[in-house]
Amino acid sequence: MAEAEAAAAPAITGMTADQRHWLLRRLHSLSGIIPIGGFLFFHIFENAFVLKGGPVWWKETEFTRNIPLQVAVEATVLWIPILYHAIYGIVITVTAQPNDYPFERNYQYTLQRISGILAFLFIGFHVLTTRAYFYTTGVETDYMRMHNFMMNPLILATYIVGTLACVYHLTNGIFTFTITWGIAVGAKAQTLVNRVCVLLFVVLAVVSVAILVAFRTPA
Amino acid sequence: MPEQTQVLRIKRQETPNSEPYYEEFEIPYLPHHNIISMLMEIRRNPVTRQGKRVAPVVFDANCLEEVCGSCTMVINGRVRQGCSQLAEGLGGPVTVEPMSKFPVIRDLWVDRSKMFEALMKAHAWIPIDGTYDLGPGPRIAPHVQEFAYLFSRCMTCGCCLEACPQVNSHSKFMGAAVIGQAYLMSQHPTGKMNLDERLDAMMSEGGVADCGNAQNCVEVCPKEIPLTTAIGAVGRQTSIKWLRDLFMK
Repeated sequence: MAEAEAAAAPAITGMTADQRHWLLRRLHSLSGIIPIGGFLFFHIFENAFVLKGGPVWWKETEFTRNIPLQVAVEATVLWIPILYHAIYGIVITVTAQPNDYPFERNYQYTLQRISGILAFLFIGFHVLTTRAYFYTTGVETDYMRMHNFMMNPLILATYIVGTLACVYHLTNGIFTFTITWGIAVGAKAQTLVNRVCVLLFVVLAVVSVAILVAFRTPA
Repeated sequence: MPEQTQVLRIKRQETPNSEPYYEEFEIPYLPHHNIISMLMEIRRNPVTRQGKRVAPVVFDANCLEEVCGSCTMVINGRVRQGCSQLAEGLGGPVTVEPMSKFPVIRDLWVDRSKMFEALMKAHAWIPIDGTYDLGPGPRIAPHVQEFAYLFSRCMTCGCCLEACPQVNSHSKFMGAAVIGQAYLMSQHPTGKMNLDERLDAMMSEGGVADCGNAQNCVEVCPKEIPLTTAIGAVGRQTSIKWLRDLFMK
């Protein structure tokens, strides 16, 4: 039965079940970096303007509200890749059986799965309350709206946990991406990339939390 | 008690499908005992701590010098060969369990067939025979030989599978050992001729793409095989093959 299915598959999709599996895994790995990872770097960068004050942030992020074919761009660059990465990520996560072997990279492996689920929940919440809110009500998330969010301790805590999960998932994902695609092959190279990614996590974590806290400054 | 003793808490299972249970045995302490010699000691007088005479504990062992891989078991929650685990410094009681990622045949004896099936799937050998004399193979540079030697030490013991969070009953991942062997065979100039077949196996479900990069394999490998290097290298080989097939086929 399974063999018959595998033989029938190429006629429909041009791929065997194995080739499809491999492609889905690699697309999962790639989509985490391009475009999702690239966007997260940009998103932290654009919002870091809030460190120079609300008006500067609103002015410098103006072009993100004037993107031609905005919905199509957001769907192609963000929603579809994120949904794919998240849903297939859950498929991968349910095949995991984390254990307690006391090695640093084993902890990173477990943390990668936990942070992935947290990031998915947070991104869902974040998009529903900002972009989806805009598309349904026409209300842009301006400084006052973000300020009110960040003044609510529960929302602030959600944002801090969610943002740290996203940043951890990305930086550790850069490390595993370099192994998956065969960029960092030797043990020394892999250790170096791992250290650089841990450092990158610390930097992005500090900047992200600083951004969130900066929104608490009265307008 | 005048003489020092050591307690072994052993996970037992009578048939492949019966319920496992634990039994405790107390034997005289000898610092140079290893887990296998302790199991042999128990076999001479299979009486539990409670004084109940039971069937001797079944276990697999052969070389007793950590090169055959058959006595791989989980000792105090960590996978390794029983023969190289000395009693000295172990303390007690010592928990001894069969590997959890393989079907148990009886007690500590497991069936590692799936590792050998994976080697067959990955074409992890070098064909040197033909219907006529193929002549001598190409020469191999010493540094290539030395690098390949690291991978040739694999004894298919199963430690890397046991410690891997991606190898389990709800995943098809074949584990790190076969990736190391596929990479080893492709180091050899004659073996390289079958590189595409091996990469097809590596790119199938359960192949290298199912690795989760927890890297426990390389930490627990008793032969210190650079398994994560093999995973990265096969990742590169498959990336190149995929791009080549995508643009040139």
